Amino acid sequence: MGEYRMSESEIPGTLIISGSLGIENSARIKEALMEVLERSEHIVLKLEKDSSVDLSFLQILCAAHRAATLRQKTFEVLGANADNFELTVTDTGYARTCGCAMDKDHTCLWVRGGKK
Amino acid sequence: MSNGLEELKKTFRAEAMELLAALESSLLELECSPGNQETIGSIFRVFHTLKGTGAMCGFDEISHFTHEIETLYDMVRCGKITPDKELIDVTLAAGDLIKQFLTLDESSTGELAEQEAGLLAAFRKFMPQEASAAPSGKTSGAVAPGAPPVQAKQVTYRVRFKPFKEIFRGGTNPVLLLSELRGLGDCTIAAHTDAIPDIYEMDAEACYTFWDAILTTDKGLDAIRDIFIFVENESELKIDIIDNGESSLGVLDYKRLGEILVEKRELRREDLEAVLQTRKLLGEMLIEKGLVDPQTVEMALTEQERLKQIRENRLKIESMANIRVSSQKLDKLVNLVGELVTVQARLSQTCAARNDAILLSISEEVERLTMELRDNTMDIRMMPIGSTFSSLKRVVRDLSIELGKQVELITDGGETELDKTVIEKLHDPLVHLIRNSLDHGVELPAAREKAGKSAGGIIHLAAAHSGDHVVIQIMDDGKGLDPRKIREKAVKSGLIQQDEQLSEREIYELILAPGFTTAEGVTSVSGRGVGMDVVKKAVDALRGSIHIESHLGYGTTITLVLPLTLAIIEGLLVRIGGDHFVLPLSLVEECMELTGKDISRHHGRHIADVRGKVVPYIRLREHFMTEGARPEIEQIVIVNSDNHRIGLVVDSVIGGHQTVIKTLGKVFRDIRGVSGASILGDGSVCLIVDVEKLIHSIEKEEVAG
Amino acid sequence: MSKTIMTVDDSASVRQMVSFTLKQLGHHIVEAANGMDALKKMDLKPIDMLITDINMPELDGISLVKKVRENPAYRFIPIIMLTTESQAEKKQEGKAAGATGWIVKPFRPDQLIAVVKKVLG
Repeated sequence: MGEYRMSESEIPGTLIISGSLGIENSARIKEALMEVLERSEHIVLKLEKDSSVDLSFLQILCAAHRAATLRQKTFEVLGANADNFELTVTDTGYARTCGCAMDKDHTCLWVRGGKK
Repeated sequence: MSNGLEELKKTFRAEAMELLAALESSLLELECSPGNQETIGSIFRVFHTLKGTGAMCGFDEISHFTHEIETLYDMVRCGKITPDKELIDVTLAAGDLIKQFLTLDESSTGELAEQEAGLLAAFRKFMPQEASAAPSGKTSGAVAPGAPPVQAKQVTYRVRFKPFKEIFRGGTNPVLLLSELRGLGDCTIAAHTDAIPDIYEMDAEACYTFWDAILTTDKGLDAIRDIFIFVENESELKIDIIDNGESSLGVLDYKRLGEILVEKRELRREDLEAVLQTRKLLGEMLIEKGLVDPQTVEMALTEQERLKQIRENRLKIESMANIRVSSQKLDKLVNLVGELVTVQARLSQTCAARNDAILLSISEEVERLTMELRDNTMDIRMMPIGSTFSSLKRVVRDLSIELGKQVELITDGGETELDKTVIEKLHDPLVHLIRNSLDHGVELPAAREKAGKSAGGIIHLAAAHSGDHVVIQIMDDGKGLDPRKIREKAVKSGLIQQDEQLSEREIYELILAPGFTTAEGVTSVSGRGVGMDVVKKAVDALRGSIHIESHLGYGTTITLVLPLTLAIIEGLLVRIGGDHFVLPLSLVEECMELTGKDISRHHGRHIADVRGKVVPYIRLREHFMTEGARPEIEQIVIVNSDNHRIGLVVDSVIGGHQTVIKTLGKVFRDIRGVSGASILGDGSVCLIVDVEKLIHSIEKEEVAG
Repeated sequence: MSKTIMTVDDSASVRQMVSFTLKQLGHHIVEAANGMDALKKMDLKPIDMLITDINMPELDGISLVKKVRENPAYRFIPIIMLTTESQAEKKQEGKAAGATGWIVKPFRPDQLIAVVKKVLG
């Protein structure tokens, strides 16, 4: 098991995150995201290349997106750079072609290709 | 790598030696205190460990040998066997043998086989009777041969995997299980994320996700279950077969989206129907109304698409696996095979006469091949009756509308195969029978309700094999036949006498008589005087039979029994003068002798006395103008034609004869009373008698003359 | 990806068989002869997976699993128990203690490989 790193960039609400983002660290990652959600309107999560994610991380992102949507905030994830982010989205069956019933603004994190 | 294996064996040897030393001291201890459970337990464990570890380290002989001893000591442990000095002696010897197994070179362990067998036999003597009788070939459980059942069929499953929330804490990564599932075949997986809460109410270490997968695989249900073996107790795992890989017989009917959702219990049927009232794409509407979430709709669409694809592919493969051949070519093949069968019979006969062993064995081989070829050829002509069935559905549909009745046709056994010619000739009679059931059988909706039945009637059409026959049943749940009415009509039209005694069945069968109709009025459907007699004729021509059963108020069942094929006939071979004839066996009732005395008793009239009943007879000799004198004792073959018993007089009856029918050339086509020809084993031709036509033509002659 | 797997068994041949088999998959193997030995060694060097026998002197398998799960670093690692046919009830007992799955002894190398792949990827 490894460590993860999280830091806020100059733009408030933009988090740069890397390292081991799996179940071992899930509780702490969740706490950190909750804290940012509290104080920011637009949250952007940037995953660095050496990030390793798993299902529990995707669940946290989904929950954070839900929380943001309910509070009229935005939540965005930039994960294309990360080693296994896209792969995990596919492997977990999270990738989808349209958002869930809550996703009125079409900002679902898991929509890949296809129609919105 | 081989180095590692050698190392492993060395370690096992050392360990086994230690165990054997411990075994020896335990055994000696047991000799002093025979009841000591602890000692017995440690002896058992030595064999248990030797068996298990031996198997894992490649010492199969040791594993096999110790397996039986382990079983025996398990019984000692349970008190089923009392250890005595003899048992201890044998066990000590067994320990020595294992040592030899360990020290000896693997290649020479074969020499110990005899010793091993002797010891095992000695051990078996201690076993209680029923236990020793059990097969001893069973080795340790885990080394069971991994031969999965041959299951090449591609089956499509719908798998719902809903892990328990705590699954991460057990060290399981469910995504790995999904990858394993993907490894089984063509697999589409969608995650359901609806249960993921707002982050403020979330347990970051719980699993909120569950999955639906559509998997097409030939690995079988157990392979899917095995993937989830560690978590299946705590998780929800549901596996349904949505396509069993069997041919859909060209029918491309995949499930509608709504049906899939209702079947999966994602949607209530009432909701579905309410939504269906409006007219938009169902999936969109369901999402708009918030009845089903988009992901679920997407998955159902995937399922639909997958099934469509699978069935289309299968159809493609099926059509590639089949070739179309004109039926003329097929007929020619059947003809040639028929000739081959006759030539082969000649060959057999000739060889039997020569008494040449080599020739005989060749001829037997030819006979076997010919029979196989014949059966195969007949099989090619076989077609499923399903296509005829589906055309009847249309008939029922149109007719029910015309008559204002609600009738559903349910078919069964559409895959039943029978000869192409039989199917073709069966079409019209079946249409006629179905029309009859609809018109006369099933009542109008109001009448049905009054009788306490559902407004819609059901006609059940079923086909099935029964021996070398095919049974086709047409069952309706209509008003049934009224025996009194039939009787009245029959008397009126002079078919029977007023006081004639008839069983219920015989009365029903009157409706098959020419010109019989009970319909109150003439409709466009049936009842124009062209009645069931047409059906009867057609079925007779197919060498089949009709049976009618009915319960007044409950419905009628008409059963057709038909031969599988027309190309082969079971006949009775008879001789008249130098000529041979074949009579269809299905018509023959019995044979009896006809002597000069019998003839003179009836003053030369062509009448025979069959157990008190008078039966007229026809002299085939006269009919076919056979030359030569007739023998002193002739034979009468009593046949049943149109429910009349008539005797056919022949010189002698040779016996049963299965034969391939050959049609006669143009010149002979109109010969009275002959339907075809066949060739006998000796190469001579015999004629197949068309009994019905023969009798008709003679009747006509008599009326005329 | 190479992982560190610990095999715990009082039988040297079982340990060696597990080690021999899993090294072929490219994993790094740590051997321990009993529960106490295992706890000590996994503190020195972090492991990614544990394969443990049940009947062992010093600290038995089930107690070992409980202790390992108490360590925050090992709350989510896969733990496989080696059971025998006669220990069916041990499977559930082990699962309750925190084990991920089990393998029934004796097992063939390919069965071991299949289970490791199932839980470790």
